[in-house]
Amino acid sequence: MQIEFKNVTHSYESNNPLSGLGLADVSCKIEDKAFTAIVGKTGSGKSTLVRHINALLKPTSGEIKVGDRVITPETNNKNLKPLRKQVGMVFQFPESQLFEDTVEKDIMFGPKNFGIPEEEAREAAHKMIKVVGLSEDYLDRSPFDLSGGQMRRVAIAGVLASDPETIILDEPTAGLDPVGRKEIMDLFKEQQQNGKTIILITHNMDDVANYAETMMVMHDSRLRAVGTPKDIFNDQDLLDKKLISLPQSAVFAQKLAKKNFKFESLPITINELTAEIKQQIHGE
Amino acid sequence: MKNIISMKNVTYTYPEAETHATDDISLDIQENEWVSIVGRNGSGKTTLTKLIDGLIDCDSGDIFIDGVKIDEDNIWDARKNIGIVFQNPDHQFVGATVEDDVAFGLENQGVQREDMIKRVDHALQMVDMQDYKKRDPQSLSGGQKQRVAIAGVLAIEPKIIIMDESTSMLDPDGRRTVLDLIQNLRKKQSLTVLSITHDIEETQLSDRIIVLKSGKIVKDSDPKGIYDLGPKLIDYGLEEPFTSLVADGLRDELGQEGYVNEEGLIDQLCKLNSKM
Repeated sequence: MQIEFKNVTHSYESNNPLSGLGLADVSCKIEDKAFTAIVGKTGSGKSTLVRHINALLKPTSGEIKVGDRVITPETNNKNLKPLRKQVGMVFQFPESQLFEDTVEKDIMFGPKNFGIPEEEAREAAHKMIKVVGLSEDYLDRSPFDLSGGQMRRVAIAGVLASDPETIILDEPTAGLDPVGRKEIMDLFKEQQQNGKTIILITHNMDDVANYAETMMVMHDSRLRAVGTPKDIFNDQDLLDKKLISLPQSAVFAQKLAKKNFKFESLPITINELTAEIKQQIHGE
Repeated sequence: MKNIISMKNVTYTYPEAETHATDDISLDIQENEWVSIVGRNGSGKTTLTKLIDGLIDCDSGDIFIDGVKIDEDNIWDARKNIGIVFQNPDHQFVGATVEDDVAFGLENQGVQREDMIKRVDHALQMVDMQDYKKRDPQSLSGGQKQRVAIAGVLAIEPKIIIMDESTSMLDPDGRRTVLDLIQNLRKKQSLTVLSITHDIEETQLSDRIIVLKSGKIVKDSDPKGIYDLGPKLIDYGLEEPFTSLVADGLRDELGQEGYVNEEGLIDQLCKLNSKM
């Protein structure tokens, strides 16, 4: 399902003049079945952007196409369920949205809400709890007795259980330990390999370099750049204006370049970095 | 040096939990130390800080803050020595303006108005947010919010600051400004910092790293001693330092194992590059 933004502007209707524009004239395509990362400082418009994809927010002007569906300023709130079933969203700290008395009921809530029969929803819960790395024993427990990392997994299982085509992730790994973070990131990569479209908002540039195929840079409510992580992290203009920060491998390469190494383009992953270093040490 | 925090055989179990959240922990932290507390989610890190701040009572064992054994009667006094900066910058604001917010803790302690104004201004200067004092905290960036939260903590002039994953929700710039701030503060004044973190780069700034696993202290050492654990770090909820991962990829070239810091690694690589 391709997603397309055409000249989308969003202004927050608020008495607070500081809130102002959320999005300013954003146009872009997000490819079907791709892994796209959206980066930018806090308040740059990343969350506002993705909230338009399932019509949690509607444009003040412009339009968004999600598959066959077109969202315009006139789109009303009726009949949005099919769209929201197709576009699953994992918010920041999704565990704060758990509310049922068992994990099973919590995971089943989403699918049932979208009209999936009880038994099918239960099957989905049993399947998804394993997909997120927990055993079926957890289904009978109260979500509130789990650790933060386990609650996060249950919340993610709840989104996956509705079988959305597109999964939007708003900093899904904030606060997880590094092992948990890698497991969750690998899980999303696997979902992509199973045919889902993944859209990830993140501050972690190493995750962008390691997982994403396309990278979008937001700044001051505008989309400032789109491209492969390799190209974007090598865009001197973006770096000079401090619109992006670099993955650790690129930072390290910059330091080597001040000494006796030369990099035609900055490596962005550890594998690229060590391969480049080896080549230079051993001579071409 | 004197111990600012001392825990003796402290055990705590949450109601209805099957295992101890902290299990017979004994620990001394010296005045002016910067200590990182690491471990996987659920290893007992936050429980440890709640015990130190008296938010929960231990089932057995004793906790001393600045030499005083804490109990029900003196916990409120002990708590004045401790400031906590939490993870989510959006969950710690109560005031309509930045200065109101910083004043909140002082109002709670019944500080006189004139004194309060001085202390608020001073605290905002220390975090370099004095130009923002009339602003609505919600209009600030994540890093700015955490700096204001730290100002609120500094205003009560605590001896101990506990950072409970205070940088984990910030973008890289915000994280940098908060860590620079803590480093600078410690140059200017005596301040004990207890930092719960998953960020290996952040632990490099600290004097000492304590590793928790299932409610027990399993390692307690300076950073190098911890980083030398190599791939075992993953069991403790830490990544390997970036330089270790690079060195591991270049094992054949470098011909050595163990932790090297960035400067050392760059030096070695440059030598190799000039030889061949």
